[in-house]
Amino acid sequence: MFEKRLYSLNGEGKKYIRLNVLVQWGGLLAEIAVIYAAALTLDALYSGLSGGFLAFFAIMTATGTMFVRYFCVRGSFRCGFLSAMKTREVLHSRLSLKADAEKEERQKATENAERMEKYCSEYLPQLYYAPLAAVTVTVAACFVCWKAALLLPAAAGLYLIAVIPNEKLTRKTRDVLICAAYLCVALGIVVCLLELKNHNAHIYGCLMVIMLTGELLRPLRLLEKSRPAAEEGRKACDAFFTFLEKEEGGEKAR
Amino acid sequence: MKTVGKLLKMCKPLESRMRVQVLLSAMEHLFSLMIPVLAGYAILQIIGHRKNLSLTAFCIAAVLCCISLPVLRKAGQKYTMEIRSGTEDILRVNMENMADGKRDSHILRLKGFFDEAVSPFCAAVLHAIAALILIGRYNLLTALLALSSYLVLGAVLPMLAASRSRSVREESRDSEENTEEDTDEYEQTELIEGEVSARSKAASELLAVLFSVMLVIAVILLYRQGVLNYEGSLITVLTFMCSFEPLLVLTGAADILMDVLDAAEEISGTQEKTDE
Repeated sequence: MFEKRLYSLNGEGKKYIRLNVLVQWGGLLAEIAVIYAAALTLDALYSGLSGGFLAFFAIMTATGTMFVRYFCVRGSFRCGFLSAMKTREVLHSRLSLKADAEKEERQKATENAERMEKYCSEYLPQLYYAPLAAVTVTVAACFVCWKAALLLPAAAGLYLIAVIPNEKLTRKTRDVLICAAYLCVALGIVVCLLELKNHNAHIYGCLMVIMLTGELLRPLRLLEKSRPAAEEGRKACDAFFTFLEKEEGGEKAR
Repeated sequence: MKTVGKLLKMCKPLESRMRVQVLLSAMEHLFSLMIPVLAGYAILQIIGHRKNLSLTAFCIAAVLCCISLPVLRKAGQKYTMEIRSGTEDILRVNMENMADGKRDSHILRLKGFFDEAVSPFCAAVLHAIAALILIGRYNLLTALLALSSYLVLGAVLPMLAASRSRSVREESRDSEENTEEDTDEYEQTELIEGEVSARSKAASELLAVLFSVMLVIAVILLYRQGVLNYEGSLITVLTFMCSFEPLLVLTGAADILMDVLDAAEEISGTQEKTDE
């Protein structure tokens, strides 16, 4: 699932990866607050609650979440940058010990190090964040419509299995799994509508589930997008560590 | 615009595939928007505001839209790969006089110009038009508010971000020419360029929330005055709040477009020197 050798080597970088996940999660909580405010407003409009109260509630929630999201996006970039720098430091320090190696091999090892940097800064935070986002969205949906919420982790699970690099899965199987994930999301929305029809859910609950499905799928799509970086990163890791071990083996033989 | 036009003219043999790719991308965004809108209409049917429409039909349509999304994305990716490899072949032929290393570096920067820069803009425009039609059906004021937000998020902010990013890149290039190679300087430059990009994306997110709250307040006021009915309020808010994704991506696309323009300028500069 992820490159353990690189992860264990990358002492300080791990801290920034975790911070990146935490910051993105903060942004997600802010987004859920906005969705809640909008859904509650629309429900209250239908029920006939006071317009002044609604406007005040919408403004206060949105003002708070606006700045939270702004700082979360900037924080996420910073953490990604810092984890890439820490990874670079560690890998270059290892490379500097192999100054005697052939120029071409060192060049290849440097290129592999760049791919491993990208793996740590782009792929790993998304790999940890996507399941956390799925759990958070499910918990938020549980409060409003638990029957529909049960389908969301199924969707997230199927998508994660399809997206995480795995040589045993063919392309067709991945496509089928992704379609099944989207089907689970669609069924979640349908279940929510049926619960509303049977008076087991409120309008705001239904609206929340509908808008939360977008927040469930977004990190999974980003993880899918960073899959090429993951595959290249893993191959680069294998080549890099083989290079280090080969040079160590050569030195021992001498 | 001239440079993009020149690149598109160069890639004329791929025109039909480019059109299909943009259409597939726009359809993916549109279907993604239709899911909450159809669900909104289903809610209206349940609460009795739209009795003439069938709940089953809405549910089936929403499910079909959901399943179509990965299919459309897959088809779009297939055309993207064809366009990229076709663009690479065309660029290789047009840059055959260039040194290998430089040519490969330019091809790497230019081959994704369509699917990473041009296509997102085209798809976002089509998506915005569809959202405006949905919102404009109920009230012109909310449609105007939506239009201004789409213009700010989809055009103004990406252009500002891209020009700021370009000036930072030019400054760093000037300072690299004047000073010796220094790893710390290079990292500092990387950090500054990345911060500019992150600030733009963060500003887009902030403005998206701001425009959402402005629209919600407008909807509340119009509803209380009786100008907008509940159906209009619900569909307007749902459509608007679920329509930002293709626009938020454009800040990154504008960065890539600037990089493409830089590469294209370098190529035409090199070709002029060769001609002399």
